[in-house]
Amino acid sequence: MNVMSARPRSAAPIRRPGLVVDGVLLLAVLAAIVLALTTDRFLTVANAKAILTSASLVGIAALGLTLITIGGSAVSLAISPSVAAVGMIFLSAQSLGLIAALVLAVLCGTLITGLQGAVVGYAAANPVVLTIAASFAITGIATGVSGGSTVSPTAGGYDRLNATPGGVALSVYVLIGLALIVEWTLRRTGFGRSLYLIGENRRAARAAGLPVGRMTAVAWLGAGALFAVTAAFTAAFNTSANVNLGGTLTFDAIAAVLAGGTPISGGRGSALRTLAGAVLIAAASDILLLRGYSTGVQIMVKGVIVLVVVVTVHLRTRGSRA
Amino acid sequence: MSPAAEELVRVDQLTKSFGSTRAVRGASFGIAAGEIHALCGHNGAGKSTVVKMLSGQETPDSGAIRIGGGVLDLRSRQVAQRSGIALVDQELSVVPSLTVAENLMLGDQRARWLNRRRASGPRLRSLLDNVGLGHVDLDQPLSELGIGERQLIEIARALGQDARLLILDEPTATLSDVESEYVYAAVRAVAAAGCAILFVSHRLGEVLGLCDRVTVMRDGAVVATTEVADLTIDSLIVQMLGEAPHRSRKRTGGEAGKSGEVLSVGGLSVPGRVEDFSLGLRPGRVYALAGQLGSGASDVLRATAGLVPAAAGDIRVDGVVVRPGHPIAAARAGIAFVSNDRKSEGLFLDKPISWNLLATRLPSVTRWAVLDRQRWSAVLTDLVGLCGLDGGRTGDSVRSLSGGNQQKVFVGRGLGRSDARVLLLDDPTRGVDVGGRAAIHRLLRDAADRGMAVLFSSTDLEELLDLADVVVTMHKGVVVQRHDGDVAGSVLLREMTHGAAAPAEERR
Amino acid sequence: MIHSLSSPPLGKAAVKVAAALAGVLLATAACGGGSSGGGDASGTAGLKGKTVTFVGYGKDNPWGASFNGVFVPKLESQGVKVVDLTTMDPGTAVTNFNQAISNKPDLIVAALLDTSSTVVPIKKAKQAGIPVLVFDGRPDPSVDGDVMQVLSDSEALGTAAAQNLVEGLKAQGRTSGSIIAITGTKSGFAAQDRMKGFDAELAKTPEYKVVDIQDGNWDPTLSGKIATQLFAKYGCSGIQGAYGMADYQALPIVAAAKQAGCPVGGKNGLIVTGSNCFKAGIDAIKGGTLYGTATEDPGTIAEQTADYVIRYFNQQNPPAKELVKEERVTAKNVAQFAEQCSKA
Repeated sequence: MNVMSARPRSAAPIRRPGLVVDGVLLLAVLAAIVLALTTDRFLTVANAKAILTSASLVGIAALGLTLITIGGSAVSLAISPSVAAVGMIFLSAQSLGLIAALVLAVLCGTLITGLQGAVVGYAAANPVVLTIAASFAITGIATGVSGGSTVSPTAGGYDRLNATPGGVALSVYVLIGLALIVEWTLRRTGFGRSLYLIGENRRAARAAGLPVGRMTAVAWLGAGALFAVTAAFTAAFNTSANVNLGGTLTFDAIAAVLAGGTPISGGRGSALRTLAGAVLIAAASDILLLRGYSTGVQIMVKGVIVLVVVVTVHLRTRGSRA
Repeated sequence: MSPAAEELVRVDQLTKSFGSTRAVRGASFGIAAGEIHALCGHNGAGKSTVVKMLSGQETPDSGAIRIGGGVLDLRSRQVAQRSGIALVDQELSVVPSLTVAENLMLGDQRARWLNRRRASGPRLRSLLDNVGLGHVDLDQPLSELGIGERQLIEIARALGQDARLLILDEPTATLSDVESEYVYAAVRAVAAAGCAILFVSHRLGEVLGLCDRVTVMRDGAVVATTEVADLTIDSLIVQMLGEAPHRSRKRTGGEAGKSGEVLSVGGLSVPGRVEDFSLGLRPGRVYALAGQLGSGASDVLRATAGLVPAAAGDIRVDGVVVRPGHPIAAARAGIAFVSNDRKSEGLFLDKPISWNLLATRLPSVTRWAVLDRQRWSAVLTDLVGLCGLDGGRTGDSVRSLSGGNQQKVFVGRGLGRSDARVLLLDDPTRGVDVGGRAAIHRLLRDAADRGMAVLFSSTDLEELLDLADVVVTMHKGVVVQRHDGDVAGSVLLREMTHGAAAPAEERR
Repeated sequence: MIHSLSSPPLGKAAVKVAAALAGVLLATAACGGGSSGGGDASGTAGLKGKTVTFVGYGKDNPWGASFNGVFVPKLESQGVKVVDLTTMDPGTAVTNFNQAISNKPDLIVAALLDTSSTVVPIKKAKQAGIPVLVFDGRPDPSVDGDVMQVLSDSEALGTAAAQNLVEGLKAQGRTSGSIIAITGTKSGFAAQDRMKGFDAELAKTPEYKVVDIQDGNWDPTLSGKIATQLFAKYGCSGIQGAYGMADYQALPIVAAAKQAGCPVGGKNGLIVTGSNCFKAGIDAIKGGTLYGTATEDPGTIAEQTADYVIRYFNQQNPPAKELVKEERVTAKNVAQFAEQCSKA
């Protein structure tokens, strides 16, 4: 008869991945630092500003996505079309004045994304499927209404969004401010706490009587407002907007959230992590650009960063649960 | 049937400990070819550990398992399967979206992927015929079959592995009487073909009606193996209970009639699970629903908490109607629910203890939707004291706690709501050690003393007798009997395992 | 966490939303199809009953929308029946091209989103005896002789951009200058040909050098990001001129320069040029931030392509290959092109 016990067998190897992961991570960070320091002109104030500016637009949208992801509804794949549509609205409303146009843009953005959130929250629709459908619908409506043409600003007020108080782009201040607000909301409000709980275990949250539908919808509403802010800045920066304004923003935002170490499964993560993720990706692109690598290589490295962080986060959580 | 001589399966002095708990202590019994052998015992008697060892899911500390004289080393379920031991689990493992034939071939290691269907057609056909599914087409999607027929497919699949020993673990627990009859017929047919069958069941009627011999376990040891002809329901219960726990209960609960009913449930039905359940709960008292798996006790609690969309009935808290199927409505009305599945439907395992305790109380610890540190820590301190948890560890994740302490957190969360009027607990001490159990019992009694009405489900006789002021027994979805006063453990067990006396069922 | 769509009490709501979305999409599709069927009797007899299958750029692209808005009505007013198979998806375009061949029209008018994947369909059309007219970008050299072409003069656009930069830098009195270029998708002929013209023209003035070329993928957001980083890399004093291949790439360069604190235009500021004009670009030229651009406006080429089709059907034997005359646009002549460039 086999008399060996199954219990101790599982204990030893659990810790290993944690250590290995730590080691790999440390090496990667060291390599990145060495690479950065040896890159000509990386350590300049001008370059630091450039990195933050590049990170700012994606970063603001990624903050919105962070709310969605922490709340357990994975991702929205309709960020680019929402930003394009809101950007077009923002520019064509310039004749009303900058403030009115901003308010209108945020309202529309909140509505577009909040509606999707309501369906995800109350009807438990699959967010991926729903947002794919929504992105087609939004692009279709935007194309139909605009006739496919590019929207030009109807007045010059938008240019104030391109301002550089203190030599740093306004969008950078806005990114940092919003990151702090979102972080505070997540940590210090009942809404934030519910969101973490719902994200970790939706069934348990439902059984505990938490308002799962409402909180999910509110998270998406907030995300919609943040997408709208991105849209206003992007449209102002490009001075024109059409249905392609969003570009690769959907996946850039997802990449920033994941690179920050927020797991796609929900229940964990933070706004500051996302901020770090956005800056990390911008810095990596910057190093590659300074070293003269092509756009293709930059995109590939972005993918590698996301992959490494996702795998690391996964292994570490598994290790800590054992 | 004469034992020993033609024994096919022999279980010899099996022992298994988990930590300091000795789950099985030197269990021995034998099963002959063609015999239907029942394994009975109350919860925690060690039945399921024996089943796990026989099917390769646990390795015995000592002892031997022999089939046809040879000693088997069952290191895994696959090895057990190859050795001719097939297990049909409590949970159905058939796939509704596949066809009957595909289900029969699932996990069959001899079958090749290519061209399996045509080659194995006749063999599968005979498998179906063996379990009385002659009318079912091999290419029919399984989703077209009823739940009883699916159970039979499961049995047929087990037979298809050339089983010499077929283990059925509570195969009829969730089936209706008619559906159960199909299973009995199939089991008889399989036994007639020369297979040894180990039949684990809580339903004593079917044990006496179907099986040849009965092995009863108690506290990890085998009490006796008896020919079924020498047994009655009552003698079987005596074997299962030993000196029956029969103690006069401390009636600490508030005296009846002191105030009106907090919770009244009338005509509650869950299709296929519960029929016409009614009960009124008074504050200050602890009520118990006693029922085995499939009795509907758990479904009553879930439906009352609003977690069963298909439930219908009249649920009122303090006379105000609560819409069934809406957990938020139930929570607002003051119903707190503690699920029996604390991992997937209860706790937020990776979150701190404090978050878990206060998850349902967020509105009362926030001011203008912002968390108020003072209120937060005040409420938390109260709750931690109430639950008897370590106040210094509230920042640790719940995952780091023992099962008993996790359950305390879960129960405590339900208790802590100042607006909670009714506390529902589905099997609150499942997987909890003795110390934790006593602590949870104290929590429930305290809650009742503070004016809540407590309703829990359990199969544990001591728990039912010690804790509950009122015990309602359930069997197959209906209430058997309500016991307001003293009651003997054997009576409860009889009602839980056999329902209201139905002599026709006792004998074949 | 992924939630099931099929949980019973919620199914209804999901169906409602799906129905609403489907309605919206249908409505959009109906709008898109509304432009056909406007043929009137004023057309020449030779064109009556002729069918053209149009595998052009989709309406979701601004340039395409504007082109189609001129091209289709002009042909229909002549009595030509136009079957609309436009798309912006390269894969769908190939499918549509094959569909067009099986329709057996009198002529296929196509824009080539992906030159290499349309080689086979073009050969198939030739075998089937269906003439093909390619507009905007040139086809793969292997099938160059098999199709008629009305092309944007990409080299001329690049040349115009270089002339703008040189003119602007000279006007500032600079004797040397560093130039950055952010291009359209580098693998496409349009971007390659423009760079050919641009490089050739700049070679005449070796004092002005291109220091960095980046692939902006015809993406305004990406172009803006790249520009931001390039200004950080070279600093304001390190860049005197910038070429954004399309106006919507040149304008983010202007914004990036401003944010980096670099002056734009004027006596000492950065000289920025585009090379195909949009309304926003025209406004910027008027405002002095964009030095210049070039035409390649969809309206002009659409007129010329439609005209080519009419000449072809009237058996006037147009030349196999026509280039659209492209114009250089700067502050001096911007008023002349404002109207033409404001359609997209």
